[in-house]
Amino acid sequence: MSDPRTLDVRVIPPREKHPTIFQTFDALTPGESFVLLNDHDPRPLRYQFEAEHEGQFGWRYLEQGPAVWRVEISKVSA
Amino acid sequence: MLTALSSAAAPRASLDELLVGLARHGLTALELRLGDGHAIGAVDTDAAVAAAARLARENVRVVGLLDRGGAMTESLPRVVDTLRTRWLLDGALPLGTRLECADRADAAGMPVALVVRGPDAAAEARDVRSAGHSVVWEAHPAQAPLGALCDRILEASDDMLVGVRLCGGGPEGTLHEGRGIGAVVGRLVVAGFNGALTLAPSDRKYHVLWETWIGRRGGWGCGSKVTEPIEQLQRTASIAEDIA
Repeated sequence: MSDPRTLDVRVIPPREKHPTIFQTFDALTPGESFVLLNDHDPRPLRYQFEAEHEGQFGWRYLEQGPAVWRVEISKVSA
Repeated sequence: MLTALSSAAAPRASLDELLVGLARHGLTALELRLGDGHAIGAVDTDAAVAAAARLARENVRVVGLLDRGGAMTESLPRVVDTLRTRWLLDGALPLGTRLECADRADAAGMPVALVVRGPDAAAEARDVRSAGHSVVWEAHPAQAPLGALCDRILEASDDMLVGVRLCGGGPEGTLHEGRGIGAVVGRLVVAGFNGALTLAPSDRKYHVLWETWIGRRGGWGCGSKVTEPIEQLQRTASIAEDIA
């Protein structure tokens, strides 16, 4: 199994960050994941996932600061 | 961008009266300040359930439960969840207290945002963002010029800016010309801001103006009903401001 792709949102303009993240998630097939790379803890994003994709995603911290946060976001198999 | 009205504009108004105000002005969301007349509190989940049903029928969202105290009751997470909103920690609380409250909220799985305001708003926004919490900026005409400050807030908050409380907007707008309220709105649009823009009073002395604006008052009573209430009240408020 190949490593999940990394989405570095630090270089994405603020207005495009969340749309890009959700487009990336939507493009996943069940069981696939990607790694989100950010310069702060993306906790509010998790709440947005819970509101819009409840029960459909996995969220696992791979690195938690202080400079970089990496979160593996997966699409849960049906 | 959602456009919202804060219950702080008319603290005695019921939920129904606030909804009338939204409809009058084409607004689509409410900020509910705890303790105001809408009767939704941090303890009574039944009231929140009833309000959520009422708001769903009107297709109105709640952009936040504004709390000036920061006391997290046992039922608050359920109230917030029922209203599908977030706990808003008022900027009057010390930053350390807001961050502690936000961490507790996060541990309880409750969405939360911290209001930042005043001359240190951009620095606070940077700290809040670094702590992984959402930011709501309180733009006040006393901090003019607001346009330049808005640029700093956008830069400091990055994608963590979920709301702007525009104090002095709505019926007060003409009283604060030249202070950059229009510039704030313009900059938010250009930046692609997709959070909530909440209209709120800049001072309690404007409550009559706001209550008239939302339709809660028809006039001053005793035969003083006016034909152009907003304009006349703005003139009155301006005089009151000069006196104050």
